[in-house]
Amino acid sequence: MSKRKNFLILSGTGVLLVSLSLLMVPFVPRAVAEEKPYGGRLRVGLPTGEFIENLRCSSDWQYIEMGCVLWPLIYDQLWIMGPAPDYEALSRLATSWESKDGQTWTFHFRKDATFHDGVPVTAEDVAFTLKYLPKASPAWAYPDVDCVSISVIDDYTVEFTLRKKHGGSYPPAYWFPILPKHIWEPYKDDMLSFSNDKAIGSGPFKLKEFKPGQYIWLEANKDYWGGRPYLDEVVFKSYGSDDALYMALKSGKIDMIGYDGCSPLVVDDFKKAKDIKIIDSPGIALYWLSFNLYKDTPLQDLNVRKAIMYGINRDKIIDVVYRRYAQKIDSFVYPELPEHNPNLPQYNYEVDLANEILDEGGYIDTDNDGIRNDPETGENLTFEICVPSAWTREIKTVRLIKEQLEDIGVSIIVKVLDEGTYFEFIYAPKEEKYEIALAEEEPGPHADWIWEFARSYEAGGEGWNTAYYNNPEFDRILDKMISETKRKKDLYRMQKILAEDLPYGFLIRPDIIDPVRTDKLEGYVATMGGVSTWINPWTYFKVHLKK
Amino acid sequence: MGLKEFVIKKIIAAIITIFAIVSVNFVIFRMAPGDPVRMMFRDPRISGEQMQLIREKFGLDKPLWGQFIFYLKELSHGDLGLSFWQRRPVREVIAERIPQTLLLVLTALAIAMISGTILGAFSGWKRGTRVDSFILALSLTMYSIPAFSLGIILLLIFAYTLSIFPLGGMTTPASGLTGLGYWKDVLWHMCLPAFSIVMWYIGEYVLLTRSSMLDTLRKDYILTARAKGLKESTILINHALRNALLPVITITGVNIGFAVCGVIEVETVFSWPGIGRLVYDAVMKRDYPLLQGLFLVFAISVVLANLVIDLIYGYIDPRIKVGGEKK
Repeated sequence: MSKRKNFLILSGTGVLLVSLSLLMVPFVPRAVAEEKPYGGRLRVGLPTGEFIENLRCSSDWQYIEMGCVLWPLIYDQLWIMGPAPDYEALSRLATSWESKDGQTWTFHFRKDATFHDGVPVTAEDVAFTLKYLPKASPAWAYPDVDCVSISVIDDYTVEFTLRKKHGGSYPPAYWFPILPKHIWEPYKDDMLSFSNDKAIGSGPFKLKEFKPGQYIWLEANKDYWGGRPYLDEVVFKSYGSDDALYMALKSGKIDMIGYDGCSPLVVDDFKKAKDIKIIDSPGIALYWLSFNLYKDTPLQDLNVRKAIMYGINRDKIIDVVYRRYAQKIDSFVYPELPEHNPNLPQYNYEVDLANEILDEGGYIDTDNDGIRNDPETGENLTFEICVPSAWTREIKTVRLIKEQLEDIGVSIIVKVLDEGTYFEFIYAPKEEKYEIALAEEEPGPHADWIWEFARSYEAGGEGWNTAYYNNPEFDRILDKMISETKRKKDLYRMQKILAEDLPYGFLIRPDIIDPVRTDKLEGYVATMGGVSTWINPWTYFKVHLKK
Repeated sequence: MGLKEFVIKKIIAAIITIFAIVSVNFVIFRMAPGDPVRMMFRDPRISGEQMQLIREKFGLDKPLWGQFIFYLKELSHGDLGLSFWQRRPVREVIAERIPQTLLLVLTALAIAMISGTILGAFSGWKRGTRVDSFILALSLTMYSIPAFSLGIILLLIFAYTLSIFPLGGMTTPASGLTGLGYWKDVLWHMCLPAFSIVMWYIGEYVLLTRSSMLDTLRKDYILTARAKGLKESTILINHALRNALLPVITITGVNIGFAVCGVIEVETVFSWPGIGRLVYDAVMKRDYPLLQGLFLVFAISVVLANLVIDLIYGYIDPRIKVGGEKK
C-alpha cells in the first residue's frame, strides 16, 4: 500500500471520527450540565414565634419550626428519609443495618465522618446519644430508640436491643441527631443544662453565628463526608408578622419561607411577582376533631359523633377558609401512600342523614329553643370546641363548624385558648377540661407513633390518646402491626376501626404553598409539606446557584 | 418634715410597693390555668416520675407558701432563679434583652419628649389658630392609631415600597459587621420602630403640654408679665413653659420607668429582640421564674423612676420643696 493511500485512509478515518464526535456534541454538554455551581446564600424567613432562643436539645428541636428545620442540617443521623414520592430510608452515618428479629439491631457506620471540630464520629458517639438523649426530654423518647441494651462492637459498629420489636420498612432510630460524646459527656444526666452554643455536629452545615430571636447563620461544612453542599451559606431570619415575611420575599430579602409557606389569600399576589415561583404541595399536617370520650356527655354516643361529622360541610370550609388549597381526609394515613385504606366509611355533608340519626337516637328539641336535648338528662346538645389562639385560620374553621351544626340542632361554643393551656387540656381527657378539640399533627410518611393516639390507657396509651379511646381489639392489632414487616392488612383494619368508632373525626389536610425566589437560586425540593419541613432537609442540600 | 425624713419615707414606701408587687405576681401567675411542667415539655408522654423530678428541681413540689418563702430567700441573695423555658439564670436572660429595649425606647422617648413639648407649648400659645387645630388633630390621630397598625403601614411604605429601611430585626442578618459599621446598621434598623414609638408618645406629650400651657397662660403672673411689657418669647419660655413643664416631667418619669418593660407591639412587628417580646414568650410558656424576674425589674424601675421624679420636683418647683425651707 502506497504512503499516499495510507495517508488517504488515515485522513478519511480522521475526518469520519471528527464528524462523528461533532455529531455527539449536543449530547456531551448534558453530562457537563449535571455539575452544579457551588456558592451562594439561601436566605430563609420564619415568623418570630417559630424562632428558637437557644441551641439546647430541648423539645424546641421537635415542636418549634426553626428547631426542627435547624438540627438536621447541623447534625447527622444514622439514616434519613428520602424525598417524595418514595420516602425511602437512605444511608447517612450508618452504611448498613440488619436485624434478625426486629428487636436486636446492628448498625455499621462510615469511617470518614468527622465532627465540625475535627474529631472523628465513632460508634461511641452513637451509643452515647442513644443512651442519654431519650432521657433528656420525652420529646426524644420514642419506641424506636428505647433500648434495653447498647453495645459498641467496634469503632464503627453498634448493636442495640429495643424494648419492643420494631417492624415496618424503616430501620429504628429515625430522626435522631448524633451528638459528639466528647462535648456532651459532662452533661449526660441533664442534657438540657448544656447551652450548646457552638452546636458542634457532623452534618453538612456548620453554625457560624446564632443571634437569639434574630437570625441563625450556617456555612457549608467543606469536610463533609458526603461532599460539601452546593450552598456556601444558609441564613434563617425571624420576621415579626406574616406581612413582613411576605414583603421580605417579594422585595428579595429572603428566598423562601421556612416552614408553612404562604397563606392562600396572598398566592395571586406572589403569582404576579417577578422571579417568584409557586410550589404547591400536599400538606403534611392533618386536622381532625378529637372527641373526649371520658367525659360524661352525649359525645360518648357514637350516633352523636356520626351526626356531627355528617353535619360538617368540609367542602365549604375548604372553599372559604383555605381557598380550595386543601383536601378532605379520612384517616391518619395520607391518601397517596400505599397503606391508605381506600374503602373507609365516608362522612360527607348530609344534613338530612345527620338529623335522622339524632332523631332516631332520641335527641329531640323538647324545649323548642332550636337545640336538641339529651333524652337522658334533658340538657341541650351543646359542646365546646377548643382551638389554640395562634391557629387563626383554624379558628375560622371552627366558627364555620359552629354555624353548620346549628342546622342539625347542635350548639357549639368556640373556646379559644393559648397554646400551652390547649395542649394541657387535650392531653388530659380524664381531667374533663375539654369536650371537643380541633387537633393537628404532622405524622409524616409511614409513621408508627401516630397510632399511639388511639392506644387505650389500659394498654399504656396515656399521653397521646386525647380522645380516651378504648378498644382492646385495636390495641392488639396495633401491637401486631408495629412488630411486623408486612403491615398493610393490619393498617387497613386499624383505619377502618377508627373510621367506624370515630374517636377522631378526620377533617382536612391544607396544602402548603411555597413561593420561592428563582432569580439567583434553583433546585428547591418539594415533598409533602412543601420545600422545608422536619421531614424535608433536601432543599438545603440541593438548592444551588443558577448557572 | 425635713428632706432626709422625706427621702427615707419615700424609700420605705417604694420597698413596700415592690414587696407587694412581688407577692401579687407570685400568686397571679400561679392562678393561671396550665401546669408549667407540662408546658415545659409540651409532650404528653412525660412520665409522672419525670414530672416529679422537674418539680423537685424547680421547687414546684412544695406548697405555695413554701415556694414563696423559697423564692424570697433566693431573691435576698439576688438570685432570680432558673428560667423553666431557657434553662439558664433569669438574670442572664433579662440582662441580655434590657440594653436593646432601652436603646430603642429611651431614644424614641427623648425625641418624643423634646419635639412633643415644643409642639404642645407652641400649640397652646397659639390657641384657637389653624396651627393649633392642625397640631391637635395630628396628635390625637397619632395617639389613637394602634402601634401594631402603624408599624405595618410604616413597613409597607418605607421598607417595602420605598426600600429605604429594613423589614425588621436589629441588625442585617449574617452581615459580619463590627465596630462603627455595626452601630450604623443598628441605627438604620432602629429608625422605623423608634419612629412608631415617637409617633405614639408625641401625641401624649403634645396634648399634655398644651393643656398644661393653657392652664398656665390663664394665671395672673402671665398677665403681670405682659403688663410689665416683657417680650412674648420671654413670657413663653421663662414664665409659662417652665411652670407648664411639671406634668410633663411626671409623665416622663413614668414613661422612663415603663421603658424598661419594652413595647410589646412595636418589638413584635419589627422583630426587635427586646424585653417586650420576652414578656410575651414568658407568658405563653408559663415561665414563672422569668415572669417574676421581669415583673420585679419592671416594678423596681417604675418605683425608682417615680422616686427620682419626686425628688427632682423640688428643684423645678420650689413650692413643692418639702414643707418649705426650714427657717
